[in-house]
Amino acid sequence: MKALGFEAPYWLGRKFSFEAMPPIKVWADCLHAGTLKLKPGFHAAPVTFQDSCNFVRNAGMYQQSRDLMSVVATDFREMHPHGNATYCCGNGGGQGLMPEYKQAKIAALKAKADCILATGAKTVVVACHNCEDGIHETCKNYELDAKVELFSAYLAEAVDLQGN
Amino acid sequence: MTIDTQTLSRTLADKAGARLEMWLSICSRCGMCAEGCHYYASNPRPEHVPAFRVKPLVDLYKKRGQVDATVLETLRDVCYGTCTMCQRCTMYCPHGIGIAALVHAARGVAVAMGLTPPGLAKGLENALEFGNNLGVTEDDFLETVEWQLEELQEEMPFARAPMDKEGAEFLLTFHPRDIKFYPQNLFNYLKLYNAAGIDFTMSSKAWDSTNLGLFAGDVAKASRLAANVADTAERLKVKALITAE
Repeated sequence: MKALGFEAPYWLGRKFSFEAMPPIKVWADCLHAGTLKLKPGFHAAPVTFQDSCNFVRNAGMYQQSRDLMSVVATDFREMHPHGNATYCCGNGGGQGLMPEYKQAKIAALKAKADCILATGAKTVVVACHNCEDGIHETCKNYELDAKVELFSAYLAEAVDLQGN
Repeated sequence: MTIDTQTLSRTLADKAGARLEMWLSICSRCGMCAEGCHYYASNPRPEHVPAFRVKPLVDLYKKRGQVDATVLETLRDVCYGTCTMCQRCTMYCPHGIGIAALVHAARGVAVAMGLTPPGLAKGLENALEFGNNLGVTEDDFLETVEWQLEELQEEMPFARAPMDKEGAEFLLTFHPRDIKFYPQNLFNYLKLYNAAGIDFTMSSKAWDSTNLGLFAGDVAKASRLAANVADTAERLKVKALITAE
């Protein structure tokens, strides 16, 4: 998202004829237009959401993510801080591909682990593959009893096939 | 390590611009950014204050590149090893300094000096050769799409997965792991977009919207990767490109 949405037009020195869009925006637009039908309250387990730096802090998808969550989750719990102020998942900027710095990365996941633990959530929904690994490592290294699920998987399970 | 001072001077000159120079000169080391960083919040040490990450770059400019190898090695470890470029610190900076952008510039210096971390360098090589950073071939991609579409059609008989269709509204792109390791992700994307009934296509040539050049700080290679996807989107005349999650 960051590369194609924000940086590439400057790197290449031209405006693109298309818009680069985060998946959350497309899902939320379809939800609001009534074309994407999701089963209300499909997920009952306590759940929280990792706001990704690029989709939320940079692309402004905070409200869209909450609109989707509020339909499918009955027990949604915010981390504190959350939204633009949320702590990084710890895996951005290519940290997943630099094993030489892994110890420092894991030490830095403590802030996030504390946030997740305080929510009591059993599922952490992530909308970014880097966050997916970062939160997974957080739960593993700080022994949190929570599973990590991609937003696409969380929503796809709740698709109402009869309604669509 | 011997330093190619010519390349270093040229890189520093390339990176220098009004924004970078202003940021480097107005940072007063006030430390407000400390609170913004999860490295600092988890492990409060002076070297985890975001302003500290700018120091190696300031040193390089002050000394006009006349430094020994240890300065460059410190720059590499600080800018790759203690920052995720999440930009949270900028929200706490009274001047709004883009510390992530400065870290990115510092990474660019490391790249020019041949110090790209090997994991990033390898992924980047794959991305340039295959068009995706996991080295998935076109045949494997097409087969995976066909396989997941068949699975999806069992519960959703009307599901489609158009390939290289001109004039669709959206171009779907992925993270290569959605294809190589977790095809269930691809299934979920196809399910959501078919359920929503949007007019989409995929491209057999340019479907990876991740960009390891961005992470590495290698703007030349990042530009080539971005151009591959952007040119395809424009050739297919789509209105929007849906990025990977």
